Amino acid sequence: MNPKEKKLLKILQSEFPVTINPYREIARKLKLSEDELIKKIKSFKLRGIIRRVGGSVNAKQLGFKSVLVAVQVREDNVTKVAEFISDSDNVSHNYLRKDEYNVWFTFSARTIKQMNDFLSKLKRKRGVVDVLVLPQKKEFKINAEFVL
Amino acid sequence: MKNKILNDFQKEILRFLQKDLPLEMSPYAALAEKLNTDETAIIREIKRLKAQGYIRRFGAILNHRKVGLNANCMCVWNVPEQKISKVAKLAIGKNQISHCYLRKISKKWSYNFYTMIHGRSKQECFDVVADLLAKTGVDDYKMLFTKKQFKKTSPEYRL
Repeated sequence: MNPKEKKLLKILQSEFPVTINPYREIARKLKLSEDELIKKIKSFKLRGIIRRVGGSVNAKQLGFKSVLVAVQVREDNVTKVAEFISDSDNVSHNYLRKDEYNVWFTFSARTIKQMNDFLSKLKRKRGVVDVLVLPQKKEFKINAEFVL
Repeated sequence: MKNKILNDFQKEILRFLQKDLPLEMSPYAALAEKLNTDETAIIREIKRLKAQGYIRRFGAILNHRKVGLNANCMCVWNVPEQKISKVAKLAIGKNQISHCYLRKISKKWSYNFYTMIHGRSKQECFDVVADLLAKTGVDDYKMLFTKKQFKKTSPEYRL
């Protein structure tokens, strides 16, 4: 990535203007035409560098409950169990990690009941040895902005 | 913490912003038309929702793997109560740490402090951990590198 592209990404992720014509403003800042800018952003999206442009909401403030869940799954059953987890709309992140607890995911829902229903289904899946539910007590930093 | 009930207009805006903003000169025009209002009113409401904390951040969400951050690690720590604020302060200051939480422990899991570390290499993650260790003396930790990403989406909260 060249310095110009880095600068553009930095503006897009950290200084995105909340105005009627945000792309016009960014284009002006970078001395590009609006068309050039839009083409560049399109290419970032196609290359998978930009996932999306938009807002991240404060789930807690909107009444959602989120937990981190660690699952110990037998090696042979990991794929199937992970598939079951990822299929849930309530799951946004799901990873295989190097640990005895090898599958880690985040679950958010409006009610505790939704969470418990999901977890009891999960516990009955073949290969699931143990499930740890790890609710958040305090949040010190949430920042999906990356230093480029 | 504000937890007021949002009106339909605010909910529509939050729904819209959780998707991908149209890549057009006037990305809010269609929404304004749909909601029978003008773009200025939408911008004003977005600013308000941001100020009230409903919108945490607004802008491009990047795929860290595609910007060269290939080593991703959740490092969990067993931090004694009296050291939590010190460790948190140091962790927050590190660029490589994107998320930092305190979580409940359980009988089988004594780690209460979580740091999500993104580095250009595993070594960069090790260096971040080594520095925290040296400065805080907290030596009960575990680095759980990501072996595979099954799912990683922007969560979409249905309002």
